[in-house]
Formats: sequence, C-alpha cells, structure tokens
Amino acid sequence: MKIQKVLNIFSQALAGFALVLPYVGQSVEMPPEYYEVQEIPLPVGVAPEIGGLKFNSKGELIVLTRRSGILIAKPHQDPNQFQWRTFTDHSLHNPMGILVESDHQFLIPQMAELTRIVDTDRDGTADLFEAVSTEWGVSGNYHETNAGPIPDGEGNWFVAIGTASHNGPTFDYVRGEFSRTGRRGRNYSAVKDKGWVVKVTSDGSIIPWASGFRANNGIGMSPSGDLWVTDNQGDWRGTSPIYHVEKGRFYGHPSSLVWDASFFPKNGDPLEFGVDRLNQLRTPAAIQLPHGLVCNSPSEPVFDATNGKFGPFKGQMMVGDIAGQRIIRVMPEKVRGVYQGACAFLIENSGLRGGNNRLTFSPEGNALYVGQTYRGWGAPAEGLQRIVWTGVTPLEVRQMSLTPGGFDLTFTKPIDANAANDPDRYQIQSYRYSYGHKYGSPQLDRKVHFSKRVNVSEDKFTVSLKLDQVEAGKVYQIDLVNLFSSDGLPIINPMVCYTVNQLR
Amino acid sequence: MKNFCAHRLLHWWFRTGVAMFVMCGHFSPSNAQVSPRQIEIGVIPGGLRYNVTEFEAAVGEFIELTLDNNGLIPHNWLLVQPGKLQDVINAAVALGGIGLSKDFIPQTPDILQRIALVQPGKSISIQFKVPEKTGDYPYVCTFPGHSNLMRGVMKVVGKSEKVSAPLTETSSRRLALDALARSKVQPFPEGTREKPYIIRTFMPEPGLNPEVLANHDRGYVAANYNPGQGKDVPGIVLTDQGLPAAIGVHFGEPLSICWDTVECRLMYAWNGGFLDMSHYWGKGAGGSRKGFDYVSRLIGKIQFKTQGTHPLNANYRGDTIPPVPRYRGYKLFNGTPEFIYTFGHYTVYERVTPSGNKAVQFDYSIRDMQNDSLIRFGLDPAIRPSVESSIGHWEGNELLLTAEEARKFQLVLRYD
Repeated sequence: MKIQKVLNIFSQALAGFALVLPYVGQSVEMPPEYYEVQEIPLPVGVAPEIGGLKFNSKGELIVLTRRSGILIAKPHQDPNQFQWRTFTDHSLHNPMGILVESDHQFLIPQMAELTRIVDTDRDGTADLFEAVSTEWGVSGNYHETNAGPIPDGEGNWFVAIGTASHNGPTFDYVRGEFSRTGRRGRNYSAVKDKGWVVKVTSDGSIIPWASGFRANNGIGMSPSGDLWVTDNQGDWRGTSPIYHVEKGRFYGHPSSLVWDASFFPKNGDPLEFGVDRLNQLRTPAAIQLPHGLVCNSPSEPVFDATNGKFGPFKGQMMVGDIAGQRIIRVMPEKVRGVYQGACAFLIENSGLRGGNNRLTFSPEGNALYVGQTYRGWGAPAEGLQRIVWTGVTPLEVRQMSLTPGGFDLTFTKPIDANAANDPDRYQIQSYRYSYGHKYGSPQLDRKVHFSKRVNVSEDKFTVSLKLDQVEAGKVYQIDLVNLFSSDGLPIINPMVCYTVNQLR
Repeated sequence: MKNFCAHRLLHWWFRTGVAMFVMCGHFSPSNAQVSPRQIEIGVIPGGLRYNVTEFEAAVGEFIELTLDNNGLIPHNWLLVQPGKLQDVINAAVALGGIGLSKDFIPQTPDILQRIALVQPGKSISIQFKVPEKTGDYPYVCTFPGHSNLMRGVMKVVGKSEKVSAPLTETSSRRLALDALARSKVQPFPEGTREKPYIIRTFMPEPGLNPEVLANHDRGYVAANYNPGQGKDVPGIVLTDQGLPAAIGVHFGEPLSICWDTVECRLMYAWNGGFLDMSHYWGKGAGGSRKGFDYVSRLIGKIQFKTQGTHPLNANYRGDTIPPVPRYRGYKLFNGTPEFIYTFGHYTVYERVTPSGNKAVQFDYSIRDMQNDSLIRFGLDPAIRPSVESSIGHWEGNELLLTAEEARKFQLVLRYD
C-alpha cells in the first residue's frame, strides 16, 4: 500500500513533466529477463563495421563488413563461442546489403556495382566476383549508398539508391552521365538513379521504379509482398519517414526527378518547381518516426515472421536506428486502402550500441541479430549484437489502431483496469512536420489533447481512447504514464506515435 | 507484487555496482580471522551476468559473500572445484523437472559453496573459508539458460600475496562500446605476391590523360547551391580527383596496380607501398571519413601511367565507333584476379602481375565471337617501346594476332 502511494506520487511527478516537457522519454531499459542484448565479438583484425547480415540455409550467420570482406559462423548459445571463417577478405566498397542466393553465392550492392560473389570450386572461399550490374551512376560522392538487393520474386532485384551530400564533392570524372541540374541541392542527384528505388534485371539493366528518395538506407519486403523503404530526416524530410513503395510514385525529395524522363527537362529544375506542386506530386510517408523522440536515422526494415518465437510482436516491422541505441517497432495497418500506423521502441539502450544498420532474425526465431556501423558518420558505433527473447513477455503496446475519433491500444498482457481507466494516464499530443528544402522540421500545430474518454475491454487487453479531434496529416503521440499489467509489472516502452494519413 | 515494479525500476536506474566499490576494500590477512571480508555480487542490467566476474581471495581466508539479486528472475551461485564447471552444469541440467525444487543445485562434491535461488529484489549471504589450495575456482548460476553467461572465477592466491579488490561491471554497455578499437585494424592494408590484397574503393586519380578516361563523363564544376537559403549563391563548387569505380591490387613490395572497371584496363602501377586509407576509413582502427578529402593516398612511387585509347579500339577504324567496354567481374587464380570484360564482340580475360621488380606482366586471353582473321592490339606510341610480346607480330604500334594467338598471349612492360 505504501509503495503504491509512492508510485502514485512518482507518476504524478512524471505526468507533470510530460505536460511541461513532452520530449522527456520515459522508457526504461529493457530488463534482460524479457529481451537480452548480447555482444558477439568478431575476430581480431576484422573491422566490425557491418553492412549486411543474413542467415544461409545451414543456419550460418553471414556478416558483410565495410572493409574486411565476408565472415561466416554457426551461431552459438554463448556469444563468445562463434567459430568464424572468412568467405572473402577482399575489401568491398561500402557494401550495404547482402542476399544469400545459396550457401556458396551472395549478391551484394557495392558503391559501383551489384556484385555476385561465388565460391565456384566449393573450397569455402570466394573465387568469382561477377559484376551483375554496373548501370547506375557513380559520382565519387561518399553519400551515394546502395541498399538491398531485395528479390522481386521474378528473378530481378530492388535496390534503393541514395543521393549525394553537399558535405562531399563529386569527382572530375564520373561513371555515367553527369547532370549539372541534378548536382544542385543539399542532397543531390548528379548522376543516374540517385534518389531512386530501381529494379535491376538479371541481365544487369535497370528499370526505374520509384523516385523522390534522399538517404534510403533501408529496403525490405513484407511477407505479404509489400515493398518498404526507410529514409532519413534532412532536406525535404521533416522527420525520418517509412514509405510503402509502389511503382511510378514520387516520394518527395525532388533531386531525383532530373532522371525522370516524364518530368525533366520538360518541367525544368525540380528545385525550382515549387513546394506546393511537389507536395501534390508526392506520396506521403506511411509512418513518420518523430525525430529526437523515436528515431534519428532509420535503417533496414525487417519483419517478424517468427510466429511468436521472438515474443508478442508477430508480423510487425523492426527498424534499426543508426544514430541511436535503439531498435524501432513499427505497426502498419491499412486504412482506406493506404498504409499508416504507429511506431514505438522495441528496445532502447539496455546494452545496445548505436549504429544499428542491418537486422536479421535467427532461423530459430528467438533472436534478432543487429549489425552496426556509423559508416564514418561520427564517433564509431561498430559491431555485432543480438537481442534474444527469453520467453517472458513484457508489458508493451502490441498494436495501436485508428478508430473513428480515436485509437485502440492493444497490450501484450492484460492491464490493471483501475489504472487503465484513468484518462490522466494517457498523455496525448499531436503535431505535423513541414515539407520543404529546409533540413528537418520542428513539430508544427502542436496540440495537447486533454479531453479524452477511456474504455477498457472486458479481457483487459485493449484500451479504447476517444479524443476531442483526430486530423489527417498529423502524428499522434501517446505517452502512457504509470500503467501496469494486471500482475503488477510496469510497461517498458510507454511511448507510441501514430501517423494519421487517412481517417476511419 | 505491486512493490516489485517500483523496487525494480529504482534498481535498474540507480543501483548497480555502486555498493561493490564501497564494500570491497583491500584484504589484510592479519585480521581475516576476526571478521570476514565482504564480497557482494549483483546482476548486470542489460545482460545475464554477475557484475563481478572475477575476484581474488587468499588461501584460508574468511569471506562473507552476498548474492544480491537486482535482476528480474531468480539466480543461484555455486562455487565449483577447478576444472569441474562443465560437470556441475551438466548435472544441474540433468535435474530436469525436479530442478526447481532443488534450486537447480545438483548433489555433487564438486560444489564447494552454494547460495540457493535468490528471488528478485532479495539477497542471501553465506560465510565460508577459502580453500587451502591456490587456483581458479569457477562460480556459476545454474538457473536454466544462465550458465553460459552467468559465471565468474574466484582466484585463490597464496597467503603472502596482496589481494586486489574485485572487478565489477556496472553495465554490459562497456563491453559493447569498443568493438572497433578491439579489432586492432589499421588503415594500411597490405598483400603479398602469394596472397594479393584486393580492394574496391575510390582510387586516387594521379592526373591521367583525358583520352584514357574516355568512357567516363566529366563531373563539371557546379553552381554554388546554398542549402539554407534553398538557392544558388555566388561562387562555384569544385570537383575532387578520384576514380569512382576502379580496383586496387597490392602484390607486396614489387607492385601495386589500379585497374579501372569503366575503361576496362590498367590505369597505373606503382611500387614501394599500397594505400593509406586513413582519410576514408579513419585513423587507427578508424571509423571516420575526412570531409572533402577522403580519397585514399598512394604510398610509394608511380612507375607507369597508361596513355592513349583502349588497345582494342585499333580494330575499329575509319568511321566505325569503338564499343564501350563492359566490365564483367574478376575470377581468382591462386588469389590473383583475372579481370573479365566484353568489348563489342570480344571477350577479354586479363591478368596483371609483377614480373620481377621492374616489370608488369599482362596475361591475355581474347575470344572473338565473330572470328575475324586478325585481332589488333594497339598501344600508345609512348608506351610501345617498353612492351614486348610473347607472340604475334608488330605493325608499328599495333600487335597483330590471329584468333588462335589471341587466345593466349603475354605482354611484358618494363618501367625502369
């Protein structure tokens, strides 16, 4: 009883904070009793700057590094007992993804090509480096990142190709056609295909697929066949977005349009086309990750197809944060035929490094492997870790869904109904982000939603919230204050943010 | 149950390890018999580990050891005979279904001291006399799934030796931070003749003739766009020197080469070193790139820069426009790359290796899909005098080869 009192005072203090300082995150470290973060050392002499991470059919972990080639090991229960072997020690150029074609064959996007690396004589090491495609441009700018490849199911691959940065030069001589118009801009597209998601065919030619990307260092396909691409906050990106990508669409960053024959040169310099017209052309993000709150630099999206082996988040999308010690959990849902939805932390801090660049689930499904690198962006956060579910379910928001006039929060466990019925335990605010050439955006039109009604379902799994107002185009941030499961355990990650594109 | 959570949160945030430093002073054997030396072991938040993974004790010392469970699930603590750790773990696993009722502690003389399961938020202390024999005595938690990670060592030293304070970890994060530094990598990669080092990166461009770079586009000087203002401002943006898509190979002291995948030919060769990658990879173990100056630096001395157009252009005379070469990849033969490219109807296999200390050897195999009678291999007049061929005959600066001869021939380029 006494403790309960202390807790109440504590939570009121927190609630007060939340109103005055809505940026104060209340997440706590993930106790290892739920999810444990384990450090997996790579051999001495290998720079653990990880650009690709996948399992092969034998259950071996394939680790692609920035300068030390490809390493392979059978995972061990003890993270210190991985027996590593080298598939190749050739230094590849910023390889940012790996597709396992067989146990002897990998497909890797490098700065200048899509490369197939093969062990043809089956001696365990690579002996053939086949240039599958050399078609995209290369300007010499460090920022041009190629993520993927993602098979399209028809023998071709999607690759997400990033723009160059004004924080670096182009070379005197470039590969492919150089566009003076495309060279302008903070992040720019001086050579072909920069800022695009393309389809590379098996003969190496390139089919443009969707444009308008900036630093799209994350591409993945859901089990249902939807293509998802993450992008980074910056110019034309108020906050970091996650896009559901469809053929022919434009996703907002204008520089790539110089390589769209239907747009350029007919419409002139895309940077001069005008924000309003660009805004009409663009497809908005399915999910926005509030900058400084949820994620600062999203990377690879992977889908929990473990069927519950990784815990209660079956089917959801996990995204790494390069600029933070966290993995983001994304809960997309379709409303009026369009994807939108919520994001929250899967895990923050808790022994996790920053630089969370590439993710892959173990074949057993109980572990999410995380490959880390800052890729020279700042203070190094490089290495390999895994997040292991212990089998014990934490209290978390499993799903957040839009309803007419509000949201339903479904929890991983039954909640304490007394606490959950108290409207003050839901700190709700909404805001939107601007669109334009300026780097990032503050939260605009911020509104704190004091007036709300709460209804707890009979099974105590779901809380229905009705708000005074829900508007399209805004992010709704809910901070849960002092909510407990019915067995008295606290929620670990109490912040969820929902991007509303369509109303119910 | 309610108090559980508050207690737990406070523990995660404030507690770990602090008590350890306060309680564990240096041991002085003279007063050991009077009151036990206290050692407290907790649990690391963020890792299934004891926060003390090693402590020293003197033979015969009197110790009071506390297992303080600041975790969320129960843990035990077993001190084990040297060399018997795996046996004890196996015996604990073998308890199977009755394990919980036994606190996962098997009955075996190999367990010297034990603390039964400590519930979260609780602590249990035991007192014991350190064995009279020096050595490493492992300790472990045998709660299912914990024994791989949750272990440590009591190092028993002689009576006269000074015993240092236990090592504590306040967080597993410390383990994680320095992975790159721990790797001991450096930005000066090296190969040998037996095991050449191959790298894809932005290679230096040491002032090559534009004719050599005919299949590249020019990266023009650009308007000075100001991202803050969102418009062009006075001034221009300059370009930097570098090759966007070349390959570097180091054969050790005698030879380094830069072979370009756009032009499909050797660009330049040097000796006396390879590349300083620190501008791109960062200094030391690295991680960081250098602003506008990130192209790697050549180490050593350039001995050869190619000149003129591609040698196979000689087959396209008059108004015929030579094709654009297309790079297909490389295959390794004993670690040496054989570059493969197509050039119109020709497919070319090319190895570039050191020949002694003052020459470069080119091993070519050219397959002609159209089977013309002769294949011409043209060299720039400036290069021709330094080159000898194994086969074919020279017509001025062009080497004429039959289709049969072109399937295997060798050029040696001397650069002294």
